[in-house]
Amino acid sequence: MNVSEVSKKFGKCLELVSMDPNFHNISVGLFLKNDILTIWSYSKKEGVNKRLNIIRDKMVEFGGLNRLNEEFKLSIPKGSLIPRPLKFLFVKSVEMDPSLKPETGDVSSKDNKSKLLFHISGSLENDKYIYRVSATGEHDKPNLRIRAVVGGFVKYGDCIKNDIDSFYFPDEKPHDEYVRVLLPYARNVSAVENMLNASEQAGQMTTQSLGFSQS
Amino acid sequence: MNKMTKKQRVLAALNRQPVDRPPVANPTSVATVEMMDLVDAPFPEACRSAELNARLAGTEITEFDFDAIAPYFSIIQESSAIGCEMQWEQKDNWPTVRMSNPIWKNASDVKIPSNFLDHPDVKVITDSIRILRNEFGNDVPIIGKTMGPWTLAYHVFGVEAFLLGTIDNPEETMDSLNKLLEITYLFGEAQIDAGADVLTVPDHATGDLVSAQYYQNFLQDIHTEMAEKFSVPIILHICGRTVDRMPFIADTGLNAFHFDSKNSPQEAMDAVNNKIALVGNINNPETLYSKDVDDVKKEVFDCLNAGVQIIAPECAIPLKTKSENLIAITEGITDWLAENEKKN
Repeated sequence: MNVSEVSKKFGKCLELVSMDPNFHNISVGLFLKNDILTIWSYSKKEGVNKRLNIIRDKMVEFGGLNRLNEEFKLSIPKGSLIPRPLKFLFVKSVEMDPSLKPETGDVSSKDNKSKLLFHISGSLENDKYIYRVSATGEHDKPNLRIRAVVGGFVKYGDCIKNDIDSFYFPDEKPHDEYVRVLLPYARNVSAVENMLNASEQAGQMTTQSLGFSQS
Repeated sequence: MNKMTKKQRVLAALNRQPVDRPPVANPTSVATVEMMDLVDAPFPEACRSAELNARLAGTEITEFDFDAIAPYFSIIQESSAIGCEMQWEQKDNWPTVRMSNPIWKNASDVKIPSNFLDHPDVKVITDSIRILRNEFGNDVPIIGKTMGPWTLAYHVFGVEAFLLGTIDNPEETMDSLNKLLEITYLFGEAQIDAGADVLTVPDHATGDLVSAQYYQNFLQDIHTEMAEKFSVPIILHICGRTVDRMPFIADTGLNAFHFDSKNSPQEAMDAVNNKIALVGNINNPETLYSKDVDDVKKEVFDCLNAGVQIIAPECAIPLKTKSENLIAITEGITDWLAENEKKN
C-alpha cells in the first residue's frame, strides 16, 4: 500500500514509533479512523504481519481495548477515545518484552523519589468514576508526592483533577488499564518530560541539533 | 497556462517566472523512518550506499508527488570525506560531525585529498544522482547539495574556534573560507556532471550565531561568485532567523533562498524585494512533526498568500514526520488554487 492509500484506509496517524526494538527496528504507527485503531508499518520484512498482530494483542491485554477479527485492528468503545494514554499504551506495547503479561490485583507502584508505595483505587461517586491516590511507607510529607502523582495523571492521562488526591478520566468512566499503564509515568513527571523531550529531539535537524546555535 | 513538467515548474519558479501551479520541493531532505521501511533503505546505510540513497530519495516523487528529488539528506558527506570524525547514528537520527574534535586549526591546514571525489561518502551522492536521472528521466529535477565554506568551517575547525577566529584574525578566516570553497565547487560540479539540475548550498551563517554584517563581510562576495560560476540555479540555505541578512542575500544573484519558519513569509518576501526567489517555510519541529494536516495546510496558505515561489519544509524534515503531513503540503497547494479560482 502506498502512503495515500494508508491514509485513506486507516485514517490519522496518532503515534509513530520510529524503531521497534523487538522486530528489526521497523517503524510502527497507530492509526485511527471511525473508532477503529490499526497498527501499521510500511516495512515489508518477513514476519511483519505477525509482529503487528502481537502489538495489537498487547494493546488489548494491557489497555482493555477490543480486539477485532481483522488483522492489525482493534476498537475503542464509542466516546472513550482518550488520546494521551492511548499513545503511552501504544509505545509501551511496541517496546515491551513480548513475553510480558499484565499485572493483576491492586494498582500500586513504588515511588522512585522516596520510600513510599503508591496505591490507586477507583469507585463510582456521583456518576463519576473517581480514582484516589494513597501512599504507604515513610515520608515527611506524603501528600506532596500524592499531589504530584495526581498532576502526572492530569498531564499524561488527559485526566481531570477532582481533589488533591483524586482524579477522573474525561469520559468519567473507569479505565483501570490506563491507570496501570500511566502510573509509572505519573509518579515521575520530570524524568518523563526529559525522556519525551529527548525523543522529540531525535531526528530533528535544527540549528540546536546541528550545534550551530548558542542555545 | 499549459501543464508544465516538474522540471519546467521548478526551474521557472527558481527564476521567478510564471508557473502552472506553485511547486513543492524541499531542497534539503524528505527522508523519514516510514519511507526508510517502505523501500528498505534505513539510515545510516542510505547515506552511504548509492542504491539505497536513490531508493529513499525517490519516495519524494513516488509517494508524495513533490516536484523535485533531493538525494543528499544530511550535511556531512564532504566532511566525512576530508577526514572529520563522524557519528553515523542509527535509523532515527542524523549522522553528525563530532565538531568537538576538529581536524584542522587554521587555513594552512586546509588540504583537499586528491581522491576527494572518489571517497565513498562523496561518490554515494554522485552515483545516486546518476541512478535517479536514469530512473526518473529528464522531466523530474534533481537537486544536489554542496556545503558552503562557512558550514565546512564549523565542521573542520569547530564552531567556537572558527567564530573566535573571525574576531581575532578576519584575514585568516577569509583565507580559510576561500580554501574551503574549493570543496564546495568540486563537489557541486561533480553533482552537476552526474545530472543535478539545481544545487542547494547550505552555509549556516545563522542569526543565532552571527550578525547580518558578518554575512555581508565574509560571505556575500563568495555567494555572488557562486551565482556566476555554477552553471545551474543555486538555492542558498541558512537556518534560523535571517531576515536581517536577506537583503544582502537577495543582492548576490543567487536564484533562491531557502528560509526558516523563524521568519514570516511576508516579512521575508518584503526583505528580498523580488530580487531572489524564496523557498520555504513550513515549520518542522512543531507543525510537520506534531501538528495536524489542517495546521500544515494553513502554513502552505500563508506562504502562497505572501507569494513564496516554492513551497517546502523549512529544512530537512524530522525523520519521524508522519506521511500524512507531507501529503498535506501538496494538498494545501491544490486547496489554495481551488479557493483562488473560486474568488476569481
